[in-house]
Amino acid sequence: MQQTLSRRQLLGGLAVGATATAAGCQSVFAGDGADKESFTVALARDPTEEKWDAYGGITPYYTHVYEPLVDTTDEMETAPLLATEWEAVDETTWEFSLREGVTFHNGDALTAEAVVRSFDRVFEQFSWVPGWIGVEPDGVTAVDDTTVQFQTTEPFPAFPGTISHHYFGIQHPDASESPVGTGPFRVANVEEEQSITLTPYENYRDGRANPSELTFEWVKDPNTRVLSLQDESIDVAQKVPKSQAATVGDATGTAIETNLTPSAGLVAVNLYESPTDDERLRKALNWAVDQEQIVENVLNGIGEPARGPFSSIIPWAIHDELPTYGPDRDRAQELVEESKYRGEPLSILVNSENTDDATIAQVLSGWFEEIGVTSEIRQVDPASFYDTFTSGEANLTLVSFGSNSAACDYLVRAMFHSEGSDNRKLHEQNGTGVYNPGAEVDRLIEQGYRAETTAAKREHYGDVQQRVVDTGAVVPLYYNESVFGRQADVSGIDWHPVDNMIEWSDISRSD
Amino acid sequence: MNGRDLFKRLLTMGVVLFGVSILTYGMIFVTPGDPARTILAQQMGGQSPSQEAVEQFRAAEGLNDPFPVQYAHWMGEVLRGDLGQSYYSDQAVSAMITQRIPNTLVLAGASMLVAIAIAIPAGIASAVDPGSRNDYAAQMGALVGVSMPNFWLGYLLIIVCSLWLDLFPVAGTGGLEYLVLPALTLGSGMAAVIARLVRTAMLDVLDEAYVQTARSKGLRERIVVYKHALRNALVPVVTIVGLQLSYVLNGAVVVEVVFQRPGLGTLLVDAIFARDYPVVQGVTLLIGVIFVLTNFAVDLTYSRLDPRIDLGGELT
Repeated sequence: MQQTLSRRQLLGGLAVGATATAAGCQSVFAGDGADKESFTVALARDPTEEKWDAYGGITPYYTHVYEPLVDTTDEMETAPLLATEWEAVDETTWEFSLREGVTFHNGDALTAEAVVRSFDRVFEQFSWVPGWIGVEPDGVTAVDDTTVQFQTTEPFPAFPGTISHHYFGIQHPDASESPVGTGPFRVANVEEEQSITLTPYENYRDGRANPSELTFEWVKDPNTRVLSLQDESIDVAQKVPKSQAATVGDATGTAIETNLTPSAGLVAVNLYESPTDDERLRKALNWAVDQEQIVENVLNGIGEPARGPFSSIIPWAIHDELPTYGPDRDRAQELVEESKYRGEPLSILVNSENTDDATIAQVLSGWFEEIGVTSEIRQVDPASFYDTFTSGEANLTLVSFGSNSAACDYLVRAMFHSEGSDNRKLHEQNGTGVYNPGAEVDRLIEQGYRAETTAAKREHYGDVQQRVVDTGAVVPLYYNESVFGRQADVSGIDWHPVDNMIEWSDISRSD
Repeated sequence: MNGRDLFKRLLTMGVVLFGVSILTYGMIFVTPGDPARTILAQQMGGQSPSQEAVEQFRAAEGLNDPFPVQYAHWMGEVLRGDLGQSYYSDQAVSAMITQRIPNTLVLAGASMLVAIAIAIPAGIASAVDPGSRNDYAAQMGALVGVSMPNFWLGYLLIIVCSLWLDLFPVAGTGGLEYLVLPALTLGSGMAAVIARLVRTAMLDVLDEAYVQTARSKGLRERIVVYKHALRNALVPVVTIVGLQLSYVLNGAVVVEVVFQRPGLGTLLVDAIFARDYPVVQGVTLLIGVIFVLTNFAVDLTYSRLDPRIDLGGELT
């Protein structure tokens, strides 16, 4: 018997189907504000996506399921974590002594073999990682139960800081039991493309973490993160837009936390493209810029006015010793007139992902206009930005650059060395680069890179910063601060300059 | 439709999909931007990757091969039923699509229901009494609906319905309560477009002789409008509802982001920004298939609504 559906039956069926499908899905907001010991943190990135197979499918950032051998302090220096000490046995060999009494979440003890297997697993999945940390693929070996040796391809004094990155959290050797680490939290539940729920690891060596449940939710849209915070469906919101920070901070139930990060925003000035190849013009641009105004008016007071290209939190940054330029637009105008600049527009390149940069570019363009320099702003999408920048297509590029570990050396190398990643393409092509100031700076960077103490690094890298600022290779703008929103009654969060490293063990809610 | 017509139709669909795939692949290939650098920077938590790392990534993913080689490799995999692996997450593209598509279908279906539920009564009310208050109100509503950007309406609904009235959750996926605000956001824009078309189509149909005949036979106005006029007025409406599928997929990107409903729209946009070629290609191909099939379904619906129309869209 043939059966036909009436339009009403069809619509009814669709509605029921939609309801059933919707009801079958899981809620993204597992957080329950009523539970005093349960907390929800909204992240801007999906903590379950990306290539995290090597970490049991969860991000090694934020969660503290895994711990690296080396910690990064609030002062961006290295400190013991799973390793108690380390030393360079020779120029290319590092030995790390493991902390005793550390256990994985399944009760197994941390051993040197487990550390070797953990690094090998990361190397197997990410073929580019050994090159990143300067280690041969088979260069990690166990000397004995508590000593691990790393063989680097060349002398690498910054090696311990480099492996303080959360990419090197140590995992249990048995991948089938993943994710199993040694951190204060263990994984209770993973909802793909939504959330990770953690519970405390009861036998953690420093005592049990405070929250009975800690959930990291993915809430991509910054406005939705703020609205969810106001709705009390989450306890902490990462990356609150600076424009909304005051609103969140002034509201009765919510508060704002800001932290200086190891990242800086600056204008990279193309030293090899006319007319910014003229030092007088570059200095004029520097004299025209008012960093305090940028921080106050564009960044809503969140950030620090910059004097150099590296955040003042980086131990070898010489922020206070660097010269300042102004603002003095009369002086700037004089320099423009002395320069060979003849009215051609300067191109300003901006990454469209960063809305603050677009506004800053507008402000800069206005100031440059005041000193008789015209400019054109060009916004490009994030994936195209780096290629466009390193091709030297623009006179001025707004860049933001920071480190995610205690090893910040790579910043100075990438930015100013002629073979650093920013300059390499043009250096290889025509011997210039984009904004490397030359061979003497290359030599200083290499000396800093090989230096074994912070004081020595400060000396060599300090010279680099002096030369870079003196020659107007950059126009420093701001040192970046991260912005978190939280419920006003939530406290005990151990904020960190690297937001991936914030500690949640002592988070609590007041009565 | 006989077997020959069906074969011709399927062949055309295949050619269209091949064209879509080669155009998309070509466009993303020539767009500046290195997937290796973008994806590595994300994976490293924002830290800039070294040149060595970038080069190793490119070699491992075959990104140094010329366009024809990369495209032929991808097409070969597709013909074997494999859409490839994401550069970014290493997941199978088909699995990513399967994971996301329920959210998109539920949102699209619910939005379409909202749109039709608002548009058809509003369009009819507006057409049966042109120049009346109902007509002006419906036209004004349609104007407002068309003019409001999705993201703006979305935030407005969250502020009013979630923060002030505490009726619905701010965002997420789950029961029906999570679907109401996104469906209203996306459906209201579509409702405005459809309502205007229903009004115009109804006005045309109500003037036709057979409607006058029905009236003169003494049928009640309600029967005339709903039984006789509406069926024929729906022919152009079906077309626009079919075309609105593109609106759903476009609008879904914003709605998916605002209401945190991971779906195909955000998957595609994120993949484009990351230059994650296999995902871009997989989703584009799927969207192409959906469009081609929707057009086919629209043609079939025509002939059901008006038997004078054959599947070539001609009046017989």
